[in-house]
Amino acid sequence: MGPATRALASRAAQALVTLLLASVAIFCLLSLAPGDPAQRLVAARGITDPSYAQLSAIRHELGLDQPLPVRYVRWIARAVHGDLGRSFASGQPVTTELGERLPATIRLALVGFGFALAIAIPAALVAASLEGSWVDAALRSGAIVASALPSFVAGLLLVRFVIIGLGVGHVISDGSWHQALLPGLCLGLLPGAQLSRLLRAGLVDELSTQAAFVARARGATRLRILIVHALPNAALPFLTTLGVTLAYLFTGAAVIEAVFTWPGVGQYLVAAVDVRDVPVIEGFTLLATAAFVLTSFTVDLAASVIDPRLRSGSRR
Amino acid sequence: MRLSSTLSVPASGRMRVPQRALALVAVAAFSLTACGTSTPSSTPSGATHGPVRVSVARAISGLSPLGSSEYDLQTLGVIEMLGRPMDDTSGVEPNVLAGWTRTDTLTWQLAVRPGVTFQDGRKVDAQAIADAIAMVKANNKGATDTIATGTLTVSGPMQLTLVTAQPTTEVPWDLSDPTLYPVFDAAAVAAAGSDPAKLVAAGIFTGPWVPTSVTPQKLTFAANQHYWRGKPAVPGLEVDVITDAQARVSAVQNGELDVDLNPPPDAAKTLAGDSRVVYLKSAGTTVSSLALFNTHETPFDDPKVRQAIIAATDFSSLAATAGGNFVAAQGLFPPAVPYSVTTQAYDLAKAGSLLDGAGWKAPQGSQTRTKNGAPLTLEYVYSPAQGPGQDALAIAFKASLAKAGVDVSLKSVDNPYDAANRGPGWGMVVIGTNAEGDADPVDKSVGVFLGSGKPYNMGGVSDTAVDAALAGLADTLDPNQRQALARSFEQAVASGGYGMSLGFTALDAVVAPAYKNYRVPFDPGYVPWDIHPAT
Repeated sequence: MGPATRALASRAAQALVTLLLASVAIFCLLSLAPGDPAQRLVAARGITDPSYAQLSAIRHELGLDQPLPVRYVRWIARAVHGDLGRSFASGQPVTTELGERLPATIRLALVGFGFALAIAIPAALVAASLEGSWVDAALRSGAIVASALPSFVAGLLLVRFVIIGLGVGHVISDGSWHQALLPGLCLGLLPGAQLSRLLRAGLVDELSTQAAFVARARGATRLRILIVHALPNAALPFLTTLGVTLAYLFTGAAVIEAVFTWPGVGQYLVAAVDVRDVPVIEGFTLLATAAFVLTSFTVDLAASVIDPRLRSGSRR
Repeated sequence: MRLSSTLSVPASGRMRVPQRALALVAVAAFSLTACGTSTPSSTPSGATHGPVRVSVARAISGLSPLGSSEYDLQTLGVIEMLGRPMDDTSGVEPNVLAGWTRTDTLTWQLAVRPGVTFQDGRKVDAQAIADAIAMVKANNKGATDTIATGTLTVSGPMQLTLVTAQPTTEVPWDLSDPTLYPVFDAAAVAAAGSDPAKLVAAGIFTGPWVPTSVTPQKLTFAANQHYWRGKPAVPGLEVDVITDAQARVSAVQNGELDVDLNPPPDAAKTLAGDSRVVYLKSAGTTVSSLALFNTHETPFDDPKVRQAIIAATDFSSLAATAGGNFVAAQGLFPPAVPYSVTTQAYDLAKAGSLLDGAGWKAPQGSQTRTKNGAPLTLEYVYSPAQGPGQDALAIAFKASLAKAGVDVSLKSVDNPYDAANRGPGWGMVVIGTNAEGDADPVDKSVGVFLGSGKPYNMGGVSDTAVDAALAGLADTLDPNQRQALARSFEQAVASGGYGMSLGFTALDAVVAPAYKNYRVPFDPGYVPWDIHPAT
């Protein structure tokens, strides 16, 4: 087994251990959180004053009367086989309900990712090329504002002034591509701003290297130096963050989905939290963790392909 | 152009980027962004003559009358009950049943309404009703209502006989309770099994809306042309599931919804003057925030302290703080009901006098009264899940009591009914309860919290006058006698200072201008069969 293969195997093992530990934390934290899921469930059914017998029957039905370790082992064993249990609220399999909503979330995440890139790359190129100018300062200020602006505020502003004010777009979304543009813009704003600052910093560093100076001395145009020499070298940390950003976009759109009534897993999660639908929250959190672990692993692989120094498993 | 010319200006130590490249980048970015706003609104704000479009706040998982969504389907009018709340809020009346009669203290005769059919065309008769009730009972073991604990038999083609386990007057309310016994075709439900698509097509209900498609986000219904009350005025019903309260209002503002049945608590204030929507409230009030003292906990075992706290509660201020659909309380029951008695009034001087008399003095320089060095503190237990505005109500109550020198600590819990949730040392618990409508407004909604041996008597109240009034109510169906007993009950509760209503909640809705004549039902959100736009 060569060093590269060993490094890959080690990284895969780390990913699996991370996922296992995360599953324990997710299950324990949600199980130990205050509140009784049985009471939330009957309240969701419109029963505000359940009898003790009704609550006991529901607790038994949900398996909540079993010891925590037993419940965890059963849960993780089922999860490995793709069974995340049944929603307390609807009685339907969580995997089915997540699966029904996942395509809409993927559409939204991809559009948000597109906006993030469309914002980040041009802004970084312009800011780096005009480092220190008022344009750079304006872009920095814009990025800070976009980073500080809570996504639900941005969403409400878009709904208020664009959809209702200008009469374009829809408040009630059907999850289609063409209705993904406004929520996608809202979703991509924050990562776009953050990525632009990261890439700009990398580009500025690369533009001040000896290599850039030599290239300039050899007659390379400024655009060529920026795109051909600086951008690839600045891309590595950018790429690492990009992977995590993609995972964030897939899993972190709950607020955006609620504001834009987007029929995805985020809105499903918000509804589940509202009635403390534990299997749904556990299932979603596990999937979200898996998405982060997987993208992180994939990005590591991609980075080792781009940067030969990383292939041996040691960074110099 | 100004952007690109600025970018092209070379600067010392900076890279100069050609105008064309930057302009292309800018145009590309702008074009991509602009795509997001290129879709025009499909529906103009205002009237629609198509299906009525309403929203609900939580997902409806399917059409199973045995699932978790039956309550939502009932409130939309999709599922009907055997009885229903009367329009004047004074009680309940037969619905799919034609009538009910108590023949002795235990026996009730239930007559099925002739001419009612399921949407699959099958006639609704006594056996169909009995089968549906049996299926619900089998699915809801542990229920303690009068139907679940009684014995139901088919005594004729259109007649049922119910023998209750104990003498009771609760049967009509249990038959009308939206959480208990929906009317559905049990045989068709059994045949459909767990297949949601089969359930949609099975025509299992009797209501005015026939399901045509059900997804997690949207339910659509066609008008039931053979509905027993008459043909609906609109061609159908569309229900959008929108969890975010502001998004629901925005959808009405943008003409994408006709009726939002769950507006945010501040809707009355924030939508004032908005011509795109109409804010409406129900004529009656449904939910009372019932506050109960813990009479086992010192100093609330002293009636003077309890009465002082009631007198120190600024009910108008509470209503103003809690939201536009709150109505100030003047007694245990809503002002509109015929048996209402004024037993609660804000009187800070009286509160001070009562507390002085009980030995709770206000020391110099302190805002909190003390007795033997101990401060007068009250732990107020409530649950935000009991209804919108509960957090605001709690904060307003704390502010109100502070003026009388009572320090209130707020404790938010999941379930205030649960002793473990309340914990030790609580002084007051607040319960959201129906004070009229689909539950017996006196015994089932308030009496169960205050009568000796009643299931939710959390405060340990034991009062012969209270118990006598409740016993009388459990024995008579005569309206005049019941009203007299209700007044007697309320006066006994006030004399003992066992509890109070902090306020009542009217139901509200935000509607499109075309539905300005929509009458908000007092019980959660019926879409009436004859709903129609004004123009």
